[in-house]
Amino acid sequence: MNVEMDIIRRSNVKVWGSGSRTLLFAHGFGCDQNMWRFVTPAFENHFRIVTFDYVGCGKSDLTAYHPDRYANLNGYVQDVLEICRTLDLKNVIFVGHSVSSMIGLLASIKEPDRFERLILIGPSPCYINEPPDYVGGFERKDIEELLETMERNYIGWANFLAPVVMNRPDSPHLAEELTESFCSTDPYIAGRFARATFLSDNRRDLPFSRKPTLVMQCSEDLIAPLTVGDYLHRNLPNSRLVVLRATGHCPHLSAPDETIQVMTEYLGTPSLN
Amino acid sequence: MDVLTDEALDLAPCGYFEFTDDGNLVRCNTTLLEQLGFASEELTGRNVETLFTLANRIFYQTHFFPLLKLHGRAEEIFVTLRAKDGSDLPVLINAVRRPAESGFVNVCVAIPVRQRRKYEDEILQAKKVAQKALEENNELITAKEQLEAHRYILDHKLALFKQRNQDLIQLNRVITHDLQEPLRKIMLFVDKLRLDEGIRLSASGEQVIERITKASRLLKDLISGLREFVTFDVTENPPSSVDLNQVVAKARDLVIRETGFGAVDLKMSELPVIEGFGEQLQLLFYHLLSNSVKFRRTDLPTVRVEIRSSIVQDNQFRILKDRYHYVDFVRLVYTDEGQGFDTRYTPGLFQIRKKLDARTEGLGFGLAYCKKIVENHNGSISTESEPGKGTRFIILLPFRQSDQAFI
Repeated sequence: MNVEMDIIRRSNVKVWGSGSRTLLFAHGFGCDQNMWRFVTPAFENHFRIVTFDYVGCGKSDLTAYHPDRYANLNGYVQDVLEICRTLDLKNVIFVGHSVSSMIGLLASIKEPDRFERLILIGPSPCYINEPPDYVGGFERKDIEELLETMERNYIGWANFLAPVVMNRPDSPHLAEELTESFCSTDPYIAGRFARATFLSDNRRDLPFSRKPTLVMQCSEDLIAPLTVGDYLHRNLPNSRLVVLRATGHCPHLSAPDETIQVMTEYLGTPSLN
Repeated sequence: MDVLTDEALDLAPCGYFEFTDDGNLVRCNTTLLEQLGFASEELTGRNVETLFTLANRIFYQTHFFPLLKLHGRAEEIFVTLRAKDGSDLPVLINAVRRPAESGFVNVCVAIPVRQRRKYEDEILQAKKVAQKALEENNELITAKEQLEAHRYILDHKLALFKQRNQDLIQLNRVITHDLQEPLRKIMLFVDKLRLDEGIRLSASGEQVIERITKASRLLKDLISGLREFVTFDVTENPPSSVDLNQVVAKARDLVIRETGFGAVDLKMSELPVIEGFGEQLQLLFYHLLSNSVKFRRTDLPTVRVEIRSSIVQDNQFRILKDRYHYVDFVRLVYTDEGQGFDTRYTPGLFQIRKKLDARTEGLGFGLAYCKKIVENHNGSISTESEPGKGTRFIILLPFRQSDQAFI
């Protein structure tokens, strides 16, 4: 098995669609590439689509998980760059949800030629409050409690994780695909990913960003509140902020139409590069 | 908020609530309201997140809602609800999505699990202790195996280094003495031929002598260049704080003085202070700038160079596989608008004597020095270029030098 195949299999990379430009979708913490299913169909006729699972999530190769590599966001950045290298991607449009926003941003600072622009959905450069100047929304103890809730759910985790064939009245054609297991599978890895995510602080990296960036913020999102969106917009050069009508942290799940509309509009604007 | 018309459900011994995809609480039964101490109208128009503690709102957004939306149902999900007075109510939730008049509604029942939680606490605690012991044990076993393997590799590498070092010492002796001596003799005899009054040479003979002299001088310079390059290595001094702004400025002055070409327009962002070997780093920029001047475009009056810096984190381990330790590196992008070169030549560019243009002056050690210096600092250098469009070097240098590397 050569290195290229290894990475495709390791990260469960999927490539489809047609078009000269590539949209690279990166999922957030707590889920896997399945969460893009409501959004990608709108783009597949005009773009090449790439989705994947971070190592340790979804159907990635769990044996490739290395605690030191994924102790912070750097290992996840490495995942993105390795996929880009393997598929020889240049000038991609990176679409990142939640923690993937900062992962994509860091990747674009490390290897700028790979990226044309970034679309960040519900991004936050730092989740923990740092009074008096910065409000991220959380205290450390909240993150500890989150980890505890995750652990408790892993006690009887079988239900949460087992493949379930679901009857989906809204989109029956998806039923078969949904037999795939949902989201993160290993409690140890999920806990570490939670730490890597919620204890990250990437505020210092923002000024190094050179790529045109769209920040998509939900109107009521406690994980990435409006103040955080404003902070990002102020400190990210070349950024545009759009506040969605959608609430919550997953507009691509709860309001896919609005998400698609805002993305399409932004993709129609010429690159500033 | 709508009141439940079904009395049985309203007063059932479990909490019941419904919410839409955008989070709006639609209905709630009396049992839940009583358990949490809210009046019905206090929850009207509120978001379902209101019911959860802050941390559990994250869990709701990252796990619970995606699961419900993608699978259509969720079972035995443990969450902590927050009562009006701020106290916690641990519950297990079963939920299902149902079509409603407009869109979907998510229906949930919640059963308090205060007692169960105590047992679970104990199980979790025991599990954590066991897990930790297991991890430590596994880590120890892995570490031991790796150490064993590394020792062997290290031993092998040391042996190789020793051998290579001896080769270098021999090579150096040959270069400095054995090779110099015949060369000195050749030059001596040529001088003799030229200056000896008794010998008269024809015009073409004079030319031959001239060329022998020139070739001998080049050989002499090459030998001393090679000797310097081989002996150039990590200095005896420990690394110190180096202000890259100063280093670049000094290198620029040196290049201007040596080439006599003053129109070097250097644009750079504020560069950081890093730990390193100041003289080496100055030499690095000296060679880069000197190349930019040497290979400038003759149709432009000035040599424009830009150096931009950013901070990135990169793996400190460069050779060992499966070792990760991410540290801060400064990422420097050095760009000029010179002649550039064809990327075909990139692979050998940093080797000694890989001169792309044989007509230019210099011995062809410049970029080899650059690579050596950057690697002495445990960094990396790469380049890309296009003829007529200038050259770009990307240099990664760690902010700190690890102590072990200089023992």
